[in-house]
Amino acid sequence: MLIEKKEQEIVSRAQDNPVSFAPLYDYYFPKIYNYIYNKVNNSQLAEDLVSETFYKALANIKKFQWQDRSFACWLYTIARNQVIDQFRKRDPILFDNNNTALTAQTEKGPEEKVIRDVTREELFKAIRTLSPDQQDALLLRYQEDLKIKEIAVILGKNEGAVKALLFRGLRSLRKKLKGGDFNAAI
Amino acid sequence: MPQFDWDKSIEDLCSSEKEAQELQEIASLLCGMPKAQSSPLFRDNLKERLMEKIRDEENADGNTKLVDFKALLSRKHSLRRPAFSAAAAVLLIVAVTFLYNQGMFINKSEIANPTDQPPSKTYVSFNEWPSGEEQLPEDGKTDIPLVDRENNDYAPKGEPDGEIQESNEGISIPGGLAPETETSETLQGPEATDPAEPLQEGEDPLKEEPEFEAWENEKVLALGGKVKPESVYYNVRKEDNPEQVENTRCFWNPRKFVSAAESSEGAMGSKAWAEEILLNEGFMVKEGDYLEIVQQETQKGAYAEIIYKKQKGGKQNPALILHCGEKEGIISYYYEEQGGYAQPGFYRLLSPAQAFERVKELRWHTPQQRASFSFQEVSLTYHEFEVEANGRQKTVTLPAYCYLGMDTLSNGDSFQVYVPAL
Repeated sequence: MLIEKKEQEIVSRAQDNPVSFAPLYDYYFPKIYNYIYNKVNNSQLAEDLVSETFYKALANIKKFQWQDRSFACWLYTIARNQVIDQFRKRDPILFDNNNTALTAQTEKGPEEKVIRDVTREELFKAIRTLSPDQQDALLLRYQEDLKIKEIAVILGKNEGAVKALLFRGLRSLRKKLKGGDFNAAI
Repeated sequence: MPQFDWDKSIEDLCSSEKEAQELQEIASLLCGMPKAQSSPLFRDNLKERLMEKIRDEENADGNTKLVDFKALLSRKHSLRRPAFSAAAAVLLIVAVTFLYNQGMFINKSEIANPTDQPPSKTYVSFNEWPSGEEQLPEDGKTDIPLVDRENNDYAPKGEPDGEIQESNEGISIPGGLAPETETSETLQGPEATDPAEPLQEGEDPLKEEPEFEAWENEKVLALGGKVKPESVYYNVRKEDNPEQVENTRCFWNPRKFVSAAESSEGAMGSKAWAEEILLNEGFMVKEGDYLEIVQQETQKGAYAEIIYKKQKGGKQNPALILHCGEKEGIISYYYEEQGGYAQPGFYRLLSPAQAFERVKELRWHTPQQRASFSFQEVSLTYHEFEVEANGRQKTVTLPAYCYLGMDTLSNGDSFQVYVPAL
């Protein structure tokens, strides 16, 4: 996250003059794209939803108030609602077969000793079998690096509930990944 | 593996230590998965579309207010009957035409000579035409008198849409005195125009404030941790594990420019002026260094952007950007990142004097019981720093100030220290 005070200044500037929205866009664009892409797993759809998210954020930035939530929470909430609306519309989501959207490589580390040879596609495929709230909790915590408190604000739950979501989500993932039979699990 | 912040509280929910460890591994795996990235083309296109939308809305805003204002006029003066609305509009046009024919409009040349004007007169000048389809009057600018704001018969009092709004070019009136052309109008009283230098046709008015690209497109670098102060070894070898010396004093004494008599150097915008500014900040401009000065005139005075890049140093140095005002001196420090170590763009920097406070936090190792160092020069470069986050350390390359100093107690050799410039 941006340093809160600095972020407040930038948001305040953007509220006064929307042209100053650019630094917020630059900073949050990759994060919002990653979050939405992980939810929908389709680059075309992700681009549409990211566009909608930023259009809405820009249109409503004057209404945003620093109270009990940060700008990041507010923005992720918009993004999450876009995804929810998309699923509500029941539009068929076409999943990308080739992960051309991925450019970085996973580093090998000791963490992979229990769950070996899990590709990104397999991991996120498994995540998408979890409940929507578990998905959001896991993605926001471990991909977007948000704090539990922030996730609680975005999901509209208390911190204890978010911890429970994380715990149950991780346990479900372990079960699916440890079995190694992802397709059967999905 | 990226920084991973495991929530210990989740362990309380686990049935065993083994389960806790496995869940932690999965969380770590998820954390370490590469991020999905969009194409830069889409990212840039979307940004451009958003900025375009902002511009469109700003332009439309004036027109919308104009329409609203006309609607308000109709409501206020028509007794809610359409016939009266039309009559009011016709009367308005007739009144304006009548005033025009009576010669109550003042030529631009009269604005330039305010002594000929009644002191309380205010003028509206059309200088913005938001729609390309609308035609400017032949002379490109028409001046008509504005009704008295205190006793405004046109603008309804207390209605937000009728309020006079401040804008960059002056005070804009969202309302129509020329209903056939929906334009935004700018109020320019005699005090808003320099009587000695009336604007010429086709000449752009001076910007109210300076505009620099770095200000408009400033990026923020989030470190996600704290930079660990470096250890400095002076006259000792690191391998010898020398003790840290607490009694160390460091001073920042940049070589100030000493004016030689009444030299012509220092005219704002000149190379000599820029070199003087840089030198006073500790930057030694040398042969082969890149130096560019971009000036701009505003209503607040002259401003300049100095772009300076040290060529020597063995590696690609970032470009330092200073913004200066003729009255204010140095206003801001930035550097331009090309994309090698962070997203390309402009990042705000501390001044060398501000960043120097961090030199005092360095961990000094010298064989001397007490030491005193004086630093005279600085350069902007890249340097690797240890960043500590959540109990873990990682090496991050950051823009850094490299200070060149020397031991003032024992005539020691000069040496360099690095601190983050952000």
